[in-house]
Amino acid sequence: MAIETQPESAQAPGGREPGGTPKERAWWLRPAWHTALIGAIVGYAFGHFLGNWIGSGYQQVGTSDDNDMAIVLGYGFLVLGWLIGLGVFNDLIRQMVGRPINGNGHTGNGLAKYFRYSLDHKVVGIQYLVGMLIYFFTGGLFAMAIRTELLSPSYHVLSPTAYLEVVGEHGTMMMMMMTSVVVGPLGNYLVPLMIGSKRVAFPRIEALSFWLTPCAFVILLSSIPLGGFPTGWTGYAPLSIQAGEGMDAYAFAFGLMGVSVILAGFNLICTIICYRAPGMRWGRLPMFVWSMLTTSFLFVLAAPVLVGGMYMIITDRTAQTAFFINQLGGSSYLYEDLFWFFGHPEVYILALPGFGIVSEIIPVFTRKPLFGYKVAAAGMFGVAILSFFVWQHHLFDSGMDPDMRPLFMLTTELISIPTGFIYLVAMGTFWKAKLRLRPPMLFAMGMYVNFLFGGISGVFLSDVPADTTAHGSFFVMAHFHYTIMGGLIFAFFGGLYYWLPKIMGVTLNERLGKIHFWTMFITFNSTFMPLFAVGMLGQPRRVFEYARNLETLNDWVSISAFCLGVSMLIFIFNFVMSTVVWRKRAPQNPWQSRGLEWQVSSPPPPDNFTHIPVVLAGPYEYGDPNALPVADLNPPAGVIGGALAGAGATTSAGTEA
Amino acid sequence: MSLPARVTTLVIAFLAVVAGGIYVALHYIGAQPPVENYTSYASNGQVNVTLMTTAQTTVTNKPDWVTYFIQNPSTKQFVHTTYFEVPANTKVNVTILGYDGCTPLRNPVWGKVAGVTGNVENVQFFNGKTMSASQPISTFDSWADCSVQHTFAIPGLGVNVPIASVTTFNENSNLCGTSPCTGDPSDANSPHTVVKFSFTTPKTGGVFRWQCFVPCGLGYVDGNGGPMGTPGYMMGQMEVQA
Amino acid sequence: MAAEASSPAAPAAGSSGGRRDGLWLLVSWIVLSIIGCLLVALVWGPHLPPGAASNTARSQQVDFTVLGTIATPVVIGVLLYFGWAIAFWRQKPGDETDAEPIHGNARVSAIWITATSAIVLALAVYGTIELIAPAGAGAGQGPQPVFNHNIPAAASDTSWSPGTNNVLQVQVIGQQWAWTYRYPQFGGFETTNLVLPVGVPVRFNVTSLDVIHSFWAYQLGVKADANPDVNNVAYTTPEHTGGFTVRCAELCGIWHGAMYDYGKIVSVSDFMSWTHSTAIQLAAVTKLLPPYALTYDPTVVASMGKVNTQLGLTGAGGGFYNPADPEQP
Repeated sequence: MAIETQPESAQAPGGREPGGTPKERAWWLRPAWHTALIGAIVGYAFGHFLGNWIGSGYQQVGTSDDNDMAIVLGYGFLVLGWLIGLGVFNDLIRQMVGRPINGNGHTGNGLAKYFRYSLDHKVVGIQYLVGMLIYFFTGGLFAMAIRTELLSPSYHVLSPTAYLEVVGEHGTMMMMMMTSVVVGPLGNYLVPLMIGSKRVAFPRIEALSFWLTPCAFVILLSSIPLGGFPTGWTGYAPLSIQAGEGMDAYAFAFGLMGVSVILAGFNLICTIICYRAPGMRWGRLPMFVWSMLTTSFLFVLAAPVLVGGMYMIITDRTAQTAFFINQLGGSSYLYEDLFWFFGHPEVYILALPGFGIVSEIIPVFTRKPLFGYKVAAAGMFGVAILSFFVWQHHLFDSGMDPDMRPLFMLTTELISIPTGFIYLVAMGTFWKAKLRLRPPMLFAMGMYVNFLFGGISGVFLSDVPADTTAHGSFFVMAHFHYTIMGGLIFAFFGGLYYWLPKIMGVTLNERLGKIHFWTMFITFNSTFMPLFAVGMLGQPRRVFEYARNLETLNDWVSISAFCLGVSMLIFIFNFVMSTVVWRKRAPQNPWQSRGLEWQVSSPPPPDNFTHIPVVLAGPYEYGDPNALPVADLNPPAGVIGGALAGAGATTSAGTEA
Repeated sequence: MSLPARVTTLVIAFLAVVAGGIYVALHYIGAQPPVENYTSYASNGQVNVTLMTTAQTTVTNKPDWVTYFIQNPSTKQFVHTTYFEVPANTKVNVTILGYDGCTPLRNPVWGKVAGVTGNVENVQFFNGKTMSASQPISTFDSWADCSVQHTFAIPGLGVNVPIASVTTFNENSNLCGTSPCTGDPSDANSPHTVVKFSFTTPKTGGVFRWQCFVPCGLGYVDGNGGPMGTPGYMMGQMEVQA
Repeated sequence: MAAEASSPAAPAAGSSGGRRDGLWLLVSWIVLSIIGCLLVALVWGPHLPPGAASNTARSQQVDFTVLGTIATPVVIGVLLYFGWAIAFWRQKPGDETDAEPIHGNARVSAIWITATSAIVLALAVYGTIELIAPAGAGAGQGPQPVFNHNIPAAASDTSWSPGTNNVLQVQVIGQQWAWTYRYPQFGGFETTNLVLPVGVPVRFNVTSLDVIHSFWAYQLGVKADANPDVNNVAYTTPEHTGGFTVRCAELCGIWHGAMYDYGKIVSVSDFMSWTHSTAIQLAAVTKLLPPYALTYDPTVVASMGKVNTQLGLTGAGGGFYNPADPEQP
């Protein structure tokens, strides 16, 4: 256990030479967003030129008028230039040449620090939050375009290429960027506060994981002027090898996001295991931190397979390898296996943080301890482990390994058992509770209701005979929108309403919050419930022509989807006005929560805690008059030293990656 | 920042985002090729439509892609589009000027003329000097003679017409070098074929896709990418107006 | 599911009304579930997709009914419980105290885990039975199908006549962007119309010429991915005459949404006369097709040699596209 015992200044990431003063240059000379942009543009131009120089002589490039090599190399150097411009490598190079590392990672005051490569996990959390909201709403706009096209089965608002472009952008934006929608903002921000630490284990890696996301976002959007990609978010070969230039954007962006999540997960695992305060036993760890831990394991174990798959797509498209071309000795099945080996843990990456958030919220708003703490934690671990053993259920009709189907049917059905634990915990917590129906609680309950439908439809899909009709239809669409949007996004909004007072020191308007919840819940169910029927009645996914008798249902769904978009506008209005204009100060602990993060000010001080706290009890001990307070924030002198002497551990020197 | 300053910044940012979104929507996502409207040129229950295939587009940012052109009924110029509109319950007499070379069909079943009057197409060959007499052909062996350059197929109506190619040697220098080609059936420059066939549009209106079944997207896997997958080149839409 | 409703955990905190809550919840749950299950199984079940036009579709309909009937008490239970909580267990305004500190209940948890595990395992067993019974449940099984219960062996690949114990073979070829169907037992003609005889076991050999498609015959309850160079076998036996829709269920490019077809199930005699007339009609083009094989190789055509001997031939745009080498030029 690495426990910080040295004075505050040495804890600051980067350290400082004794007596050295940091040099502060003018704001436009310090590396920030604008220098990163310049670096990115220069990098892209260089890479594109390099690719043209290498590839233009090839006959394939000449006849197809598509130089994928230029695009991919352009993207690669774009990312490199972006990171160089951001100053990511500055400290590394300084260390290599023996100069003192500049600054302490707290990169300025006011808004400027959010545009720099900050090493403070709270700044990174807020950067992630704004980023994720932008990515989410951009993806949502594409969804509005999809539903506009689906208003009529025969009149086409979009050309077929544009429709597939939009479908692919919506799906990829959501599945790719939303992988980090909770781990990024809430995980990075809250985990150190919840475990009683002043920092994360690897602040530079954490900040890097954030700064790769705007690159991935822009690269994905750059596919549109290049003609888009026709494969949807799954990118099946050989269609992805056949596709035009826009496909490179997909493969590169997805691979880049994969790298980002590997870094983020790695950092969180080390932080949670090594940086817990004294007294923070595993049995007292908040459920949200358990979900972050299990999600991070999934990140680190599953995302590398994705990066490998995307890499192979890129080499197939540029270097004329044939990993996925059957006629040349490759196999299209290989891609499907690689993709879904990542793809299935990916959806649990999306589900587990949702479970963590709602399990964190309900004790506070029922004023009861979390029912079955060990069951909940076991459920999360069960889901995480089993998620690696079920991926063939996406491939039941593909022709692969029919004799394995009963096995994968069994494992997929089994995974619903640990998922069900979450409901056991929720229902036990509600038993004779004192419910406070504030916005966070409303969203948590909405999450449970939506995930119920999503989960049950998942059991339908895990049954191979039922899957024969449902696979590739709107039934699957409804299933995963219920679990991911109804589950994760509702939980995310709940977490946002719950934790925003802590994160930004301002409260979101509660009345608007309730209006947001009710409109979103009603329109969400109105949009996605009929899609179960639409799928069962024979409409496949990603099509723009469908049977005439389904037009009424599709029109109902489209109108509801537009209303769902309006409910998001209510949220945006609430969020922007509350944080920028109204700025109603939040008290330190507006929800009367026992969580450790609520025991410091809102927002927390720059180093989280003045002293490393000693944790005395779990965070869910409501209703017990004999329960100790959650932590002692001013432990007497010698307490920590005494703990260390007893354990025989050496002090850490405060170095970081 | 003071409150009014914050609100102003917000409003400006919001409008900028909205403007950007509308621009992307209209310019990139909502863009469709122009539609050549033949509905007002129908008479006696028939309408004449003329298309052209060329080896290289030259007029767009994908100059090496093969493409179709459609003749505008009023200006008689060939426009780079594949979208056209015809009235319902009408006999459509199609003339296609084929200026491209040939590629074997991936699935030879598409070598059979189907869904058109008499299940034949009438082909004339222009070898650079003279226009041959018209001969009806019903099945093409695209492998034996390399006799097919593209197909015009409307799967929704069962129409499938392989466009005959001119099988001569040393074709390269004779392929039409500019696009669109002059379009004059007795043009002195490039050998080409003139293919004529007819089909009848259904009584109810609708939008029917049409495509080429020849793997002519060179440089792409299976020949089906690139122009085969982009509107305005080798695939398009026929709107039937009721 | 009945677990937490009858939990005896409450007496630990000494609250009155514990039995009443639990009892009422249990009773209402049972009553609503019985009503719900009956509605699902008896009223809705016979009308569930995908209908009963073939034996695979019929068994899937039964499957959906069973799954729906099992899911109904679960959904009703959770929603009822949540509604109850919102109605009766709210914090009264002005009350700032906490509720009873119940950390868990081993018995409740054990009952829940056992019940959910039992249901899930039963469903897995049931699903496996349904997979075996109608020969793979209409799902594509790849080139070596394992589930072929009640499907007669392919006694002859080149001929078929009614009454013989021979499976009817139909090759489904997916290409960008249309379906074609080849009947090897009738001379190997290839057509864009799919016609099947009623009451006859059919073996679909699904393959693709280019990218991954998926053959979904909705009313037949058959779905099999079409992969290039791979044969994917799916079985079914049509049971009623009528029409059915064929759609592509795997994104295959721009016209994926327009890649659909209508098939017909007809009487055996109508089927025989249709094959006879179609074979004659398509005789000219059948000669040009590659010999029938379970995966489609476009280079094995009789006239291949002639093309390669003609030098200087140009393909579209000036380069010759060789379908044997999909990444060239």
